[in-house]
Amino acid sequence: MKVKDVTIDSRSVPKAKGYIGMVDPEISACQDCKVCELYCAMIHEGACGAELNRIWEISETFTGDYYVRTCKQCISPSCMAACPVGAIQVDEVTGARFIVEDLCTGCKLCIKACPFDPAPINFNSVKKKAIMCDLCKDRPEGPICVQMCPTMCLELKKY
Amino acid sequence: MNEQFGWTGKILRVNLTEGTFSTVDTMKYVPKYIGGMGVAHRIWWEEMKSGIKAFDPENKLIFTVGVTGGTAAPSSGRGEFVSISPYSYPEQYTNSSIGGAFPTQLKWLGYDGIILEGKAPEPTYLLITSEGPELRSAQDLWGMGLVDAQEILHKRHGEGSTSYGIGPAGENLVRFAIIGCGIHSATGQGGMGAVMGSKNLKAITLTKGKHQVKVADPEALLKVTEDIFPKKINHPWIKENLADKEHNPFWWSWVGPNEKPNFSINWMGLVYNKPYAYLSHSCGLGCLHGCGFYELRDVPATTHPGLLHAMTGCNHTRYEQFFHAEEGDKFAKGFEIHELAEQLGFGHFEIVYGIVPWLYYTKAVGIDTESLVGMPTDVRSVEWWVKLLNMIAYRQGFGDQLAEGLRRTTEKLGADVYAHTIYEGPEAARGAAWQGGKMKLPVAVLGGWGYTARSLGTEMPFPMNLPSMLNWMIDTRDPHHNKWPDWAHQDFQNFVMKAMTKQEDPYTAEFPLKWAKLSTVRGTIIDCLPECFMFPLRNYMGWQFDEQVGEGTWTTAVESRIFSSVTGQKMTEDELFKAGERVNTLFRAIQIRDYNRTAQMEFEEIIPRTYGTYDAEKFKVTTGNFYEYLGWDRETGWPTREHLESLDLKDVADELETLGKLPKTASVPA
Repeated sequence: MKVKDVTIDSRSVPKAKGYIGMVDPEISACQDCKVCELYCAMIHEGACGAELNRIWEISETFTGDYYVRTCKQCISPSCMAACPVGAIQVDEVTGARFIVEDLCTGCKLCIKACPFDPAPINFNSVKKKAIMCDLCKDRPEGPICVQMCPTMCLELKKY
Repeated sequence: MNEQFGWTGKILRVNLTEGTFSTVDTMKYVPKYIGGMGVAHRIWWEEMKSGIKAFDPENKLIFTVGVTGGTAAPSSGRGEFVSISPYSYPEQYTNSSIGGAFPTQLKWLGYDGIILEGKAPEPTYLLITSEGPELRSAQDLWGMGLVDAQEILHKRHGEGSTSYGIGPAGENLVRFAIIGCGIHSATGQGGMGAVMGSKNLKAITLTKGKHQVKVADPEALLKVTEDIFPKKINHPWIKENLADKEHNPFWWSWVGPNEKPNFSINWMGLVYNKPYAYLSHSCGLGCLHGCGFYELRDVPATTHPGLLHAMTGCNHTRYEQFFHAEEGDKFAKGFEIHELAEQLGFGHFEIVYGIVPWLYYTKAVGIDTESLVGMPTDVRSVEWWVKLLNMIAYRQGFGDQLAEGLRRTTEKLGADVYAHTIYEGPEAARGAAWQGGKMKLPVAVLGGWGYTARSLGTEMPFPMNLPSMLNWMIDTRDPHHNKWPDWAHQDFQNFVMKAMTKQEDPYTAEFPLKWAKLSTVRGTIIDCLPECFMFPLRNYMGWQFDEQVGEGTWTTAVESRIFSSVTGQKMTEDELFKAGERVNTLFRAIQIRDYNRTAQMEFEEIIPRTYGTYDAEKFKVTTGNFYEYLGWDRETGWPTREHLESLDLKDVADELETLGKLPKTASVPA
């Protein structure tokens, strides 16, 4: 992901407990199965589709590079600052930045404000809602992608 | 019915001749035919008739994804092509499965399948986006390698796009050409690539869709997945040899702690890939445990400048095994021809188990095939391989005949000499390193219906191969992974032991009938859902199971739980098994209606493929017993009306009766 030229909002919010990243490829690598995407979508949305996952397993099929992209749970989240209705909030327990579905108006300003390109924020065009990684804050078992990854190449990286 | 769960509800129909599109309602066919291949069989029954040849525009090429496709169901990222196979001998309706991201993305574009009809007037590719389908010119892609063409399409249509396509072999109607998905998966058998080529269709490309495939009970699906989840192991890029079992975790996934069944030696043994690292790669989305396909990058080509990026694994490692004892960069030599075969778009089995061993064995016994090919046979020479593969792909010289496949070639030359002559000596690829260099094989190692025997028919002695021969007999291709009987199971070993100690006559025993029926119906269910072939073989793959889940061999309970959790429609194990039997019996009805399949025809096809190791008269009794075990007439091999009606196939029984293809009298047990 490349970083866009945007002004980062500097207001202070609690740190998230981490973000979803990949382990050292010397230890384990992605097998390009997209189990992370599929379970992410199903657990959150009860359905699977290209607009329902909050983590992306990028397949550079013709070079053999496979890696994940998801929300970095920024220390100073510009998406949160950009949301005009306060739909992006911080979970008290995990610190995860998450979108309150009922509040989201589908304006996509969070996507535009995200410093990463492409933004790791999906847009459900059926519900007209933005969705992004919430670290599975409501699951006692933690992030489903980490739990289900068959090769154990995903982990919750600590800040 | 919760029709919004699992299925998208429609199948895309493409008339390539007219360039028009329409849709078919999936829900007319499910859950009665489960989904996927079951739906394809029913459409075939309703829309096709006898007398159509594989390369006729009237032939259809149907691709289907089952009810679990596009969801998080384990190993559900596969789909099924069906068509009249140009590779089957004689041409017959058959199926071939494939993975990649394509099946999942097709569901996300809102389709459960694609029916391809007619023939495009010029080289074409089908593009499906969230805006809908369109046909585009493929003039610039025609003639390109299978992988290269798809890389261009990927660049053209952006991140997240994926394709199925063909190489020059498919374009030139090589009967064992594949449809491939990048470097990662293909319809290995059936010659579906040649059917696609005959329709002037170079590729099908999908971009991201907006359809959402709903799951009725996500928690239940998660639970069943966790119940079977394989023991997790790290999957780094491994810098050791595949043949080095001490440092190859996949070796142990396959063989288990007791190294039985030792299939690993067959396909990972003698593969010396160092210094090139390998990475286990899934064949489709939702894969919980790579089964043995490995990706390698930056392997230098040996006959031209350049670095190769391709796969090896499964039984395709035979390419590399041909060079296991050579000097120099032996892995790179095998890998280069492997990659070339992939780009040209060949089904690997026909090459490495059929044509090349045949050239090697005929030479060894003094049958002149070198003058036919026009060059001395040297299976340890990369240059020889490159020339041979190109001859076949572009139908040059004797390559034009070999492009028809080994069965048709040996029939034309004279099967008695060119197929049945017995060769004794080292196996073509593995030489003295395999069975002490003492193989005894027919020079053309052919199984039923034109397919190479691999190890199923010939390397496995009677009575071990009895169930797979029964499977093969009622199929139209080789019994593929999903239908493999479990040879290493204790129950199977008990059967073999009883036969060897003469406690039981294997020809009249019930066990091989039960084993063959179970594996055939279970394989059918897997192709309908879809799931992967590791489900029944989870005993050996490091998968988890307990009494409830079962070890896989005797049960399809997991499959029924997955179906129920995705669709919200309660389907018991018995109900799903019956649906699988229905689909398999409908497949039987297609064979009978369109290809005049009879018991006699099957007996005459299979007995020569046992190469004198079977007692023909006794096997005749076994076949009758098997038909009867399946609910079919023991004399004709045709399903009885009673059986068809028990499977809710009365309309099929009526049509067969009209054609005079229902058994006239009730079957009498032997």
